Amino acid sequence: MDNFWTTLLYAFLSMFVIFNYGMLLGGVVYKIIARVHGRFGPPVWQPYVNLLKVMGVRTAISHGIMFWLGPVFRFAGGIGLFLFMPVVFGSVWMQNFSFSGDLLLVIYFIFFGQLGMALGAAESGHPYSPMGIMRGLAQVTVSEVPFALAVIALAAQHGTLSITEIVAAQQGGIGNWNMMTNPVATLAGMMAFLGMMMHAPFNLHLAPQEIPVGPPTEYHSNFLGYMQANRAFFASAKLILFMNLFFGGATNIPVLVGKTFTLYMFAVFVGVVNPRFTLENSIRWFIRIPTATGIIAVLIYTFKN
Amino acid sequence: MVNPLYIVAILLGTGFLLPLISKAGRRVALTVFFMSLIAVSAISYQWLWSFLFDGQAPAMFYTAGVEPPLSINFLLGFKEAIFITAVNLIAVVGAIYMSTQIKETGYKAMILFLLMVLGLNGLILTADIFNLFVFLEITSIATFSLVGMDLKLNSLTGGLKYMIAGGLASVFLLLGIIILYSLTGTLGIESMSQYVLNVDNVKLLSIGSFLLIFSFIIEMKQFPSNGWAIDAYDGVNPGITGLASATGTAAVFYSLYKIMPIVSDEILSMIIFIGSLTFVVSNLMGLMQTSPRRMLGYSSVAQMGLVMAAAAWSVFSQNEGLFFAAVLPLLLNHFFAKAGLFWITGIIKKNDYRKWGVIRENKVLLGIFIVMVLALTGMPPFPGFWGKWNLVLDLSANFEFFWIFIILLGSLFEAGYMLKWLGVTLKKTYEKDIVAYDSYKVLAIEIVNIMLLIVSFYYFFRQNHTHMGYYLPYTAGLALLGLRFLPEKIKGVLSLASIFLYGYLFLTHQSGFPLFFNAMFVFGAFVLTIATLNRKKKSSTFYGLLMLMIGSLIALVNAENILNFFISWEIMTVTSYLLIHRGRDSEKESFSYIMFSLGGAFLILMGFALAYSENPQALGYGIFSIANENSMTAFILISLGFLIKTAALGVHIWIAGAYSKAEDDVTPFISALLSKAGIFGFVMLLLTMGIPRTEYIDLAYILSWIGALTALIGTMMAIHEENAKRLLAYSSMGQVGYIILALSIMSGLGWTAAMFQMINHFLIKGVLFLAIAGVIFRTGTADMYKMGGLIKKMPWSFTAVMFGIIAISGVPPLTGFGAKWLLYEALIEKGWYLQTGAAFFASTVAFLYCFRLIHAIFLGQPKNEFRNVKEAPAWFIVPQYILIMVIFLFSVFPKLLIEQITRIVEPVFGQGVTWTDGTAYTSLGYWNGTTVMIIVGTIFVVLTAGLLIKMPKIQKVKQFNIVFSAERPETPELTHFAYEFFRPYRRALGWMIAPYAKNFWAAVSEWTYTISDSLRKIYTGNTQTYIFYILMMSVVLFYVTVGVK
Amino acid sequence: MNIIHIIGFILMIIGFWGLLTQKNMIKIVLALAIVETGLQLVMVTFGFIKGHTAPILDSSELVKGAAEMIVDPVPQALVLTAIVIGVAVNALMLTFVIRLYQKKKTLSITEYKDLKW
Repeated sequence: MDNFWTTLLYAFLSMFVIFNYGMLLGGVVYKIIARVHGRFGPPVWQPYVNLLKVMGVRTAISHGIMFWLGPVFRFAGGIGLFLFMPVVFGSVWMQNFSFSGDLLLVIYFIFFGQLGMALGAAESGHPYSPMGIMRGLAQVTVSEVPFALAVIALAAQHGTLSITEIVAAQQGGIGNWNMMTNPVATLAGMMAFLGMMMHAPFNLHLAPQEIPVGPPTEYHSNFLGYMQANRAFFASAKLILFMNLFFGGATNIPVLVGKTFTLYMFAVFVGVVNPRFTLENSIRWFIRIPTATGIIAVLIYTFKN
Repeated sequence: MVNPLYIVAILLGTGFLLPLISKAGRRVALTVFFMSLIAVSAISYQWLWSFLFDGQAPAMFYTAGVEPPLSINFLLGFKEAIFITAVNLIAVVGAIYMSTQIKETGYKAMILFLLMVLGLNGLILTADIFNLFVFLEITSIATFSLVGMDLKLNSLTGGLKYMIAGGLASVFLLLGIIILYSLTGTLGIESMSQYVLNVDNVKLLSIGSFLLIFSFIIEMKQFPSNGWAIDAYDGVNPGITGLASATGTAAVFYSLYKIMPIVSDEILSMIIFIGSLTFVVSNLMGLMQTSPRRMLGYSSVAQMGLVMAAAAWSVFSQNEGLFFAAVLPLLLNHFFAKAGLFWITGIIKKNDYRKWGVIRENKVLLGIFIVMVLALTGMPPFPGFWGKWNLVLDLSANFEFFWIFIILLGSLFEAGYMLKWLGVTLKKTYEKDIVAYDSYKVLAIEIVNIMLLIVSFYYFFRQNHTHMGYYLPYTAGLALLGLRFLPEKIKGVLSLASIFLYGYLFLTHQSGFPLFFNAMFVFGAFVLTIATLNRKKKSSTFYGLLMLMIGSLIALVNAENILNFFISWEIMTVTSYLLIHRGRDSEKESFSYIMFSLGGAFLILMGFALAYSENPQALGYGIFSIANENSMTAFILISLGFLIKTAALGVHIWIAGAYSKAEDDVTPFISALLSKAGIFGFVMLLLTMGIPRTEYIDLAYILSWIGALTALIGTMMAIHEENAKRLLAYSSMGQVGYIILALSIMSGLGWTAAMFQMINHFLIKGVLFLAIAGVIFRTGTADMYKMGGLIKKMPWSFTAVMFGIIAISGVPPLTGFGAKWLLYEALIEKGWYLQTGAAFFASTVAFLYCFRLIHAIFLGQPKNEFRNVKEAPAWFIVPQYILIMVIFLFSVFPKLLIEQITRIVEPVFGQGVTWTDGTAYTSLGYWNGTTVMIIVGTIFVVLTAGLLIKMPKIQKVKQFNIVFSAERPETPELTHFAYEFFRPYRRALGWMIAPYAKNFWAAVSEWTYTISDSLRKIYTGNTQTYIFYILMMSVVLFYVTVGVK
Repeated sequence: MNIIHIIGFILMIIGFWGLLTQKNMIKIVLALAIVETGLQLVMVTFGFIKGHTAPILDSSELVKGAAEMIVDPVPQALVLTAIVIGVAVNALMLTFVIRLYQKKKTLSITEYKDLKW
């Protein structure tokens, strides 16, 4: 690997870009939600302020080694997820380490941070932490089903699991996007997306921290800093994944920003206008309409091929 | 050679002289009595010897120098020699067993005993049918009189029933004899079988032979004319019962066998039908019994039915060889085991099998008991196994599949009650009771046991179709059973050494799939055995059984034909049953395990028989590759057997109980290694047979759905378990489901995925079950919600479990991801998209139980009672970390493992994965385990370092330093959220795990018992009912066999 | 089929009827004895050849042409043996009945049903 150092350098560059993008995205969302609520809202750079503030806290307490490692797992998961994904199609420096694995690696790596975080939070000994984790994990298991089915349909459609190749196949205009060529899979995928972005109505697992206890409450100072920074990476990485899968990917950064922002707004707007589902409700919802849609998407290709 | 007439002379002479001799004292009389029995035995033994080794020809002996029918004449051939040797041997042993009784009763009992032996010998030797009658009556009268000496009510009632039935049988016998004589003008059996061919009056001939045979059907106690016999077995003194059930039935059976050539094919068919019916029905009725003697009675009757049917079949199909291959071993098995068991019931005088635990106080008797029960259930290497095996193969060569089914069904029922008895006896607490272990009685039983073992090994070597290397893996286990007196640690070290030695010496000679599986078994057994060194409690059999089980796994892989495969399979089943049975409160669960396993084994045997039928000369796996009309059925049956072993959906209900009730250091063996036996079976089957398909049915597709649904439902069930071992058991079920799914793809990539997942599952379940074993060892509970916060007490166990769940859930960068990646690529490549979706769903649900396992035990709030627990002993920790090291090796360099797999899979299916540097490519995607590991590792290290630098000092807080709705909690019990963790999930998706299978099997079991219970009610105990059955049966059978024409 | 045959069979059937209907154990034993008697009649008739004499070779005439002139002796021998054995068995059965009566003070066979199922 003679170009390892170049790859590394490029990876750092893209990480820098995406980190800031993610932070700003968060700020914009605060603003939008506030406006919908009729408030003025914080400035768009508020996430930076938050991050600096928590990183500057001097006291730190720990419930144990796993508690300590939880945010590390989480952050490593976010960065790793981003690094295993090609960000901008055709760009040399926005390919990251996508040669390490295909779509399946990316999907499974989403769990890495979640699992580590769950372990860390659970060590805090706070009963609401596992409650939140239970809700979050339970929802993930079902929202992954339509997503997996959509991905399988895409793999069947394109005969590949490589993200780069899937994006390549969508080049040449909106008509080639999977959104147009495989609408059923896209529909299933986008419904799963709502669950994966964890906005209302699928954000029951956040309830424990609003009480106000739960994982992010027990975590503080630099731990919280890690988690906030991770949020920037993680959210952006997921947006990029969906953009790549269904909406033709991006050939340059403005397109990337445009598409991911729109995608994010989809989740945000759905969330803003919806109440919160209970866990049973959301599980049942996912196992019905989105899963059925996914099965249809897959069946199309079962009989086509 | 001594003329066999001396047998009669000695017995009769001694009998006449005994009243005189007894004047000289009882001791003298007893000595003479025994000497005459021994002399008789010696004569028969001498004959047997010369038949075996000196090529003796059959000889005819006449009395009074006159030709028959005016004199008694004896025919002594090889078979007769075998029978009289066996009968006289048991007579001596039986006399030893009953010696006190005989001595007390005096010379009368001795005379009767000698007369009985005389009758038995005569029955076997006589060459004409009238003397058959005479000797039958001599035997009966002597036996009845012996019975009558015991003045207990039950003994007398049983005896009277016996006599009335015997009287009826004599009536039929005499009528038959006289009709046959009037038609043929001879009484000699051999000449009669010639003359019957020339008889004109066919109608009368068939009536005569029917009556003759029918009397033997009564004497052989066939259903439904056998209520009296079972009552007699139940009521009569066990010394005599043992003797009668062994020698009496053997002699009567042999005389029946002698006259079989006389009768027509219709009547032979009737014998086969009645015998098989009796075998099934009596065993079915045995299921409801609680009295051991009655159980043995039903078993005796059933066994005689089977032996009789087999003999009739051998005559019907004119297959003389079958007599020695199947009939004789079945009979001898019954002969020795029944005698021994009946005699044991005479020592342990408990009329309820649930009270038999008292036998555990006498280790010798216990050992014999186990051996004999296993012999009766037809386990290898006992003769019953060989008998059934040869009979099944012979039936299959003649396409008699229905009878194979009947035989196996009956065997399953029989195993049902025999093993229930064994299981309860081995486990159940018992009331202390004084049992008189008379040394001479135990000696008698021990002799019978040794005879059983001798016959077993004779058949074992007679039947041996393969190189001795196949049997090598068993030697360690047998040796350890012999060395059971050694301290546990030494036995453990010896086990380790033997496994190591085997691996070192023999593994290198293998290749392909056998090498792959054996490497896993040997390595796994070695590592997992380390944990057993922690055992403190002395157990005489643990290591022996464990090594036998491991040996059977290795031998299963080494087997080169279906016989060896099946032997290994049975030994594996029995040893694993006995191991699981050792666990606390495990009776019910291990019983369910053994019944499912045996059912599976019989399905496999049935499938083997079907495959064998088209090519009845060979036993090699080659028989599977010949496609024929039975292939599909054979495949279905065999794979059902394997599916039971792998606990596929629908036949999985045994798994959680068996895994959780087994001892904690045994469960890793079962989950990590034993479950792979089923996988090996599938590999063997699919390699030779492929997956058959027709125009309408694609079995591969069905199998794939079985695998996918097993994975999904198994996982779904795992998340709702409170018991850590049950949780992991269902997890095993799900994980093995993936392997079956991957195997059914039948492509290079699919099989690579299967093998990878198998190794992955072996490593992970080893780690997890060992870690849990360590935790249970310290805390004494497997209920997860009772624990909590153990991370600080058991950091090593925690870390092991953490790696385990990361690997099992498929999260990169550990091996689990490789397994999932290969599986999905293979599935999508195959075009099975929906199965992919199901597998994916299963793998995400797996996160739930993974988190639950680690959270409930190690995280959250520590409980008061476990505040002082220590880390698990090093015996548990060391093997876990050996396995984790292997996991890491294969995680960083998956190529190491995948290349080995490719090497064995490629010749069959072609290459599934190609390589460029460290990156694996399939037709769909790519994966580089090494770089993933490096990237993840680097990020992780950088972030950890960053946090360490930023927060060099961190304040550690106490247990309750949390904010709990602004209140400081005090009771850890209320603060540890673990019980019914996923309740909302159950509310939403509980319908997926509704216990359909459990209810189904419960219904099957209940119906079986209900049928058994209502059937056995036909034996009302009223003698007249029994007479009615006999008469009705004669009428019905008469119309079926004779009246139709 | 001659008259003795028929009588024999009728006796047997009477015996069977007795076996099935009589509750008294002594009667049952007797019923079995009746069956045996009938059977013995049937048996001995099978060896009978019309016009032939008893198989006692007391004259030279008989010794010469034994085969043509005497009835078959074998069935008679059989019947003799059967009678002996039958008597023995019946006697033994009666001892059992007596012993049973001593235990339970009843001769009704329906009372001896402790062993069942």
